[in-house]
Amino acid sequence: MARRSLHKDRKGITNVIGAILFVLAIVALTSIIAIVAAEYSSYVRSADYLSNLERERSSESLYFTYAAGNPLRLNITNTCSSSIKITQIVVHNKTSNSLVINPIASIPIVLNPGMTEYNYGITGIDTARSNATIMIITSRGNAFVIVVEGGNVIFRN
Amino acid sequence: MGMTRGRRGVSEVVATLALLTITLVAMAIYIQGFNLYYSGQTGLLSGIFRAGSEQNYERLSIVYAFQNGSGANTALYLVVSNYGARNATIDRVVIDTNITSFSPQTIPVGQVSVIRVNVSLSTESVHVISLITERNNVISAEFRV
Repeated sequence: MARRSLHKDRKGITNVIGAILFVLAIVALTSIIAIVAAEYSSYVRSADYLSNLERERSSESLYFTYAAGNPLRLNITNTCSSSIKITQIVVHNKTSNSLVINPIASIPIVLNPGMTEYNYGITGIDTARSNATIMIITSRGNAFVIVVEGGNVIFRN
Repeated sequence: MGMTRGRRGVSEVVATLALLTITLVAMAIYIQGFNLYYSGQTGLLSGIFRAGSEQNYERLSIVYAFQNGSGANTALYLVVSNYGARNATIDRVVIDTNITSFSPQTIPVGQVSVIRVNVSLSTESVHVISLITERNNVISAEFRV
């Protein structure tokens, strides 16, 4: 009779252990799935960022015309369908053997589609006397190269 | 007797609610701890995704390269632009499959930096210059100096 009572008291233990194991399994599985899903979703967002950035980057286009010679002045027109932000200018002056980043204080310059910046001056470059490579760098990492050599200004339009 | 019989199922409902609460709280604690503990790791599946997205946000371009100096002072100068959304640290510079001696240099977001590499290259041929970043991105370009 006493044995039967003891057996009766322990009847619910397996249920409790089962519930605990169930909770542990659910917590472990769902947590791992949730973490992986969150990371995957942030990876997809970054891939989207990358493809948008590279698409916009490849469509960037600037049109240059010569305005004046000393110092070198250019008219710069945005000929693409999105805004372009000129963030840096790098001048490799081969005459004075120097490399200057941002010789002018007026950057950044934002050009909306079709907009022209007139008489954009590059400090220290005299067209008639200087030999230099100038890079107009945009916020999307494009570099538009202008070469000044032998009194000529060469750019690719 | 009737009242007792009517309340027979209450403990089961309470137990289910308690079970749910415990499960949710445990999940929240587990996820937070997991994220904190493995935030710098790349070995797990989530770490692989995280490392991949960090690589996508890191964007560098080699804008210009030129060689300057004479004799032992000859060096290659690379103008590198960071147009991505993360500061980028260049770990190694590889020129024509040769790993050059180079101390890591960080380029902040939106900045242009000049990297000096102590190497003398032939001006006659085209060279492949590769930058390897801390996040294992490789930026390659062909240049004649």
